[in-house]
Amino acid sequence: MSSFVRFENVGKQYHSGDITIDALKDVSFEIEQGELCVIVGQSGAGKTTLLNILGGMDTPTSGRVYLGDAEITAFNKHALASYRRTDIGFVFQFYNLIPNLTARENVEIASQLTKDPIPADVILNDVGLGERMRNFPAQLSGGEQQRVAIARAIAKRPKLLLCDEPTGALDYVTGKSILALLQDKCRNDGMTVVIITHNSALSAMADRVIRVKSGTIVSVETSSSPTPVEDIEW
Amino acid sequence: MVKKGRVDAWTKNNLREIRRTLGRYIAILAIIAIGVGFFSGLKVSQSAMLATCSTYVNESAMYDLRLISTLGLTSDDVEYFNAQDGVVAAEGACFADFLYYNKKGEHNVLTAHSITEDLNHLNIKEGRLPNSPDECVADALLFDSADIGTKIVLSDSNPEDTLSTFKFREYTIVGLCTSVNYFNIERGTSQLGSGSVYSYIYIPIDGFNIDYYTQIFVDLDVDGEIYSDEYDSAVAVHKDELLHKLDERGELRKLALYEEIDAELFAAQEELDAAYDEYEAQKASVEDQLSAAYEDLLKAYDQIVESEQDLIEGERKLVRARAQYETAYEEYQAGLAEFNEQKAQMEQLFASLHSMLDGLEERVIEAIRLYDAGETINIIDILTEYAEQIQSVLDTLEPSDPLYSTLSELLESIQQTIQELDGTETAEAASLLRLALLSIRVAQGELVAYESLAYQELDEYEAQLNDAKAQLNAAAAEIAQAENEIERGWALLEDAKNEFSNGMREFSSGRLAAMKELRNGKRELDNAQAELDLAWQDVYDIVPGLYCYALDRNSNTGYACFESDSGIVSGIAKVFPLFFFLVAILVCTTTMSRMVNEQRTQIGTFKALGYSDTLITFKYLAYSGSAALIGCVLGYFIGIWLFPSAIWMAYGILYNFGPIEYVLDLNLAIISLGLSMICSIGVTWVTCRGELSRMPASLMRPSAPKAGKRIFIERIPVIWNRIRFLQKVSIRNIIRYKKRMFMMLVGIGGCTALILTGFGLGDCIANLAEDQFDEIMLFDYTIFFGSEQTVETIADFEQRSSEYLAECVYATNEQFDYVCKDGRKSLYVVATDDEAINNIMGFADDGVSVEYPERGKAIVSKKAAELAGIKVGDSISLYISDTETVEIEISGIFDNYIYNYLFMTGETYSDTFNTYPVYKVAYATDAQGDTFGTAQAISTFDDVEAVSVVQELRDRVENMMESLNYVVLLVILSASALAFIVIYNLTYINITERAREIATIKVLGFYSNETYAYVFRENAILTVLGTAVGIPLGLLLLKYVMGEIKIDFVSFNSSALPQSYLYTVLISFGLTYIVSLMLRQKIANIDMADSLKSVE
Repeated sequence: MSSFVRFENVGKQYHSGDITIDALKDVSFEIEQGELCVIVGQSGAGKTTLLNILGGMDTPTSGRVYLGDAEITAFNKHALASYRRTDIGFVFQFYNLIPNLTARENVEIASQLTKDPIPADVILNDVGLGERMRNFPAQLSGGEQQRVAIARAIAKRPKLLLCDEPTGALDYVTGKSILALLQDKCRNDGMTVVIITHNSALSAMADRVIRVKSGTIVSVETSSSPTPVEDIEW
Repeated sequence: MVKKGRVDAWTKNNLREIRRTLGRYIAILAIIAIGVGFFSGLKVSQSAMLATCSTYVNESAMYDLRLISTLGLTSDDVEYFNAQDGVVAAEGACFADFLYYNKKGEHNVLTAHSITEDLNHLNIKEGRLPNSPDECVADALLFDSADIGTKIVLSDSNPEDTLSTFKFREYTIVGLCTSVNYFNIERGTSQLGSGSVYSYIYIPIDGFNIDYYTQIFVDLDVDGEIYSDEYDSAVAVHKDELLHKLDERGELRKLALYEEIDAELFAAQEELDAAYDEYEAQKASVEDQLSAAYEDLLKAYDQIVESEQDLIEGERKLVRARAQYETAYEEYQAGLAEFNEQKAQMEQLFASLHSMLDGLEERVIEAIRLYDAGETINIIDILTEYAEQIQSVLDTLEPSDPLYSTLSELLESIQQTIQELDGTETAEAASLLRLALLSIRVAQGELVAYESLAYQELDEYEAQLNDAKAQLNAAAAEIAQAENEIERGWALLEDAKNEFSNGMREFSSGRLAAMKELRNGKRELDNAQAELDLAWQDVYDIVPGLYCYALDRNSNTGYACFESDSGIVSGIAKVFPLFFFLVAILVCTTTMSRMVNEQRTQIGTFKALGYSDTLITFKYLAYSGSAALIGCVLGYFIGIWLFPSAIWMAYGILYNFGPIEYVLDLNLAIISLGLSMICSIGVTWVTCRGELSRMPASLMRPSAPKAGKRIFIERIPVIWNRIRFLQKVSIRNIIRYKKRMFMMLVGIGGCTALILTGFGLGDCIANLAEDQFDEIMLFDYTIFFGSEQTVETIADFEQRSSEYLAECVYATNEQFDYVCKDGRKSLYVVATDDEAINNIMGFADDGVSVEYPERGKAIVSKKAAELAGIKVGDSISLYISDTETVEIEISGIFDNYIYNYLFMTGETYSDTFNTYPVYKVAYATDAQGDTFGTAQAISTFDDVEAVSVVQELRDRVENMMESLNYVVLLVILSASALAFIVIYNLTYINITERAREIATIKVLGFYSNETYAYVFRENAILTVLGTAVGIPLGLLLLKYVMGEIKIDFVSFNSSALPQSYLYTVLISFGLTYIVSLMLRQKIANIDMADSLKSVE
């Protein structure tokens, strides 16, 4: 059985005037279903590009990307939107909650797009925000906002949860609790989670660590016994 | 150096800023340009029109006053007025209306004017001025180049008076012109034809055949712009003064005319007296001739009688002659018969005598021979027998008869012989017998002698008879001739009689004719005398009443209309620019605050680098200020060019004098600049001040997104729970950005209002003619009679006009002033008792029909009611003199848009004005379907003074209104442009402000259409709301603008048609939709990856 996520010789070039920048060069890797994968690299290493491509927000210049049986690189715009809407859950560094919607509504705006979402109340309880459902983002702390973001991402039962520096804007403790939440989701609900970070300390919590540098994969490591988040220090 | 370098980089940065945000820069520029353009354009339009008019008036040396006297004006008058103080020039002129057949063969009325030298210069558009009196230049508006060289021919149906006014019957067109007397397409009215003048021509004054002027044009020494109060009051002073003098001159002229007429009357009397004398002479000569002829006739009659008597006499003579002839003829016949008898007797006698004597002789000779022979015979017996015979002859004879003796002798001899023989023997006997024989022979001889004698006698007698016969024949011939003569005499007499009776007849008919002719002549003379007598009596009536007028330019329809027409846009100019600037302020505010907001970090950095607040503020002031300045300059010049041109294009149809003059109004430019600076720099400064007051550090932190808030609708679950999720989001978003919402509402609402006003203006204009002429004034003609119409004249007129007119309502039609809120205005008072008035006037108030008033009440048209500030149940006050008024209660107010009317019954009229109503006007409808043909026919009636055709009024109104359509179009287009900029700008800002949010929802998997909908749904809702706000606002604005359009005799029904609402809604929705389409790409271009980035 082939892997859940597959990158095959993926390349991405950006053109800016006469200059061509290779954001990704011949990237190939695989992620198994139910894994928590950490993609780690320095700023400008190409990890965001990788995430964009995997999240259906951008298309590679060359190569193929598969999720399950579907070839994402073969999708047109509409299919990509469809893909984002049903298969992918996003967690952003800056939460990207819609300021004019309450916590619950922020979940609903995503879940109302899918057929069988987890009810907003349930999922918000699940992330520990049962009491703050009716609050607007501005009334929530950063951690709480990120929890809402995670709730929004997983409410629609995505096949893949993509997290872009989920702790980047959070303090250490809060960040940790968020990562714990993600790890729980992976462990308890069997969700495939991909976390992108520049913080290599986080790689300890991963089932698989992919290191990126200058648009290429430096290494892919798998760990049979990842460390629980609580035990990781950075 | 260092400083310079810094400033250079600074400037470079700022310039780069502009280039980078060109869209925003242009938005400010454009909104200011539109605002300024609209403001300056509308404001300057009136000035430009007035300037154009002023130039035209000055270049053409238009008169300041027109002096008119009903008695005409002389060249002395012209000189007199030329010498007056304040008069620069005075010039006499003539004008007269006439009928002519145009190219299409229609009968039209033209006004002919004399060409003036010093004033009212003609503007020759083509061809040349006339060189000879039978040439003319024609109205350039209604004639074209093809008409040059053709002739204007005076129609034969012109009244004699008209024809005698002109020296020629034909005038050759040698050029086309425009004249200051005719500013617009109005050509005036006339007593001729259909009552409306079709066009005009100018001819040299020598082309007229009149020895006086009909008017004097005066150029006054007055200052002041046209239409200005300064000018008007300066003219008014001179006007009063000159009118007074004109009256004096008029009195002089009147006296002169009286003298002239007296002299004329004397001359006429002399002439008439001479004619009487001539008549008498002629009468005498005719009578002489007649009696001579009669005498001749009498003589002829006498002759006839005489010759008749002669003839009778001749006949009588003839009868006598014929009797005589008869007698003579009978005598002759008797004679002839006797002669024939005698002749026969004689012949018988002589024959028997001869046979007897011859027998005797024979016997004797026999006997002698026998005796000689010896034989014996009984001769005696024989002799005896003869003797007896002789004896019997003798018995018949007269003894005087010569035969008698012969025979007697013979007898004796025989008897003797007998005796002697007796017994004698033979020989002897023979001798004896011989003797006897001898005597017989003698007797025979004697008988022959005698016979010839007897025949001789007979012949004589016969000759006598023949003579008588010849005489008789001659007499018969004579008689026959006389008969012929008499017969011819009768025939001649008959001829003479015929001749006489013919003569007699001829004479009497000739006499009758002559008498008749004389009688006619006499009657004519008598009539002439009677007229002359009347003229003597009415000598003061022959000279028309002296009425003098000094008319200023305002009495020139074109000139007066021009002022109100040029003011049409000023109503719009009052409100609209205000609104445009308001929108400009809003757009600048949002744009600049967005810009400042976007550049918080940069501002913070500059502050941190040590740039002064002033310098940083200046950057933004310069940014918006420069955009506004460019926009202002562009807008100003485009505005003062575009609006006057567009409006002039519209009015060009009406006013044909030269191209529009563009006015560079410096004040306006300064005001525009000031306003645009307030809109841009002012707004920017206020925005900047808020931001710059912060510390650099706080500036460098991203400004927190605007916090979400619950909205009031959420507290009403009944509604909130029914709204779909995304709609809830949109609603909350709308309310979240209150400033934007407010601006969208103001922008869309305002523009919707403007667009609706634009359409509404168009509707009102279009409605006016339709409502007025299809709903209210249902009649086709107003017929003005020369005298009051009574029951008899009405019946007579109806009978004559029945083939032309269907309905005819007789009424009074008089102008009165009424008391209104600001002074006095005039209206027409119409009184009639004819129920049919409801057939020719639609009295209704907003669709509800209004009853014709009962006694003591009246109904009034709406605008008059408004101006007077009265409603049903109130009374209207009419001036019956300068100071006195009368009041009438108003029982109804009806819609009417052209002129103002007060309707009442005849009784009400009598009650109110204390005088009975004089019906001199009839409102009529056409029965033929040939509106102008009917007017033509009716106007030829002697009792009809003028016929005014409603269709002509309608055409005039429609023409006037049409020109407003351009203004309407301009308003709609400008408002649409404004709406577009507002919607575009706000939406653009909305999208850029919320780029992150949009990127997020895209990442969340919203399809493109869902994403667009997420953003544009808000626009749609705001557009609906804005339109909803805008429509009532538009109605208010429409009312206001219509109220500002001041055309004296026109009022508007300020309401828009349903389709206008529809168009308005369609345009505002359409604009929103177009903006959406244009900004789709902007949304599509938002990079989802941006959502991952940190907040700038």
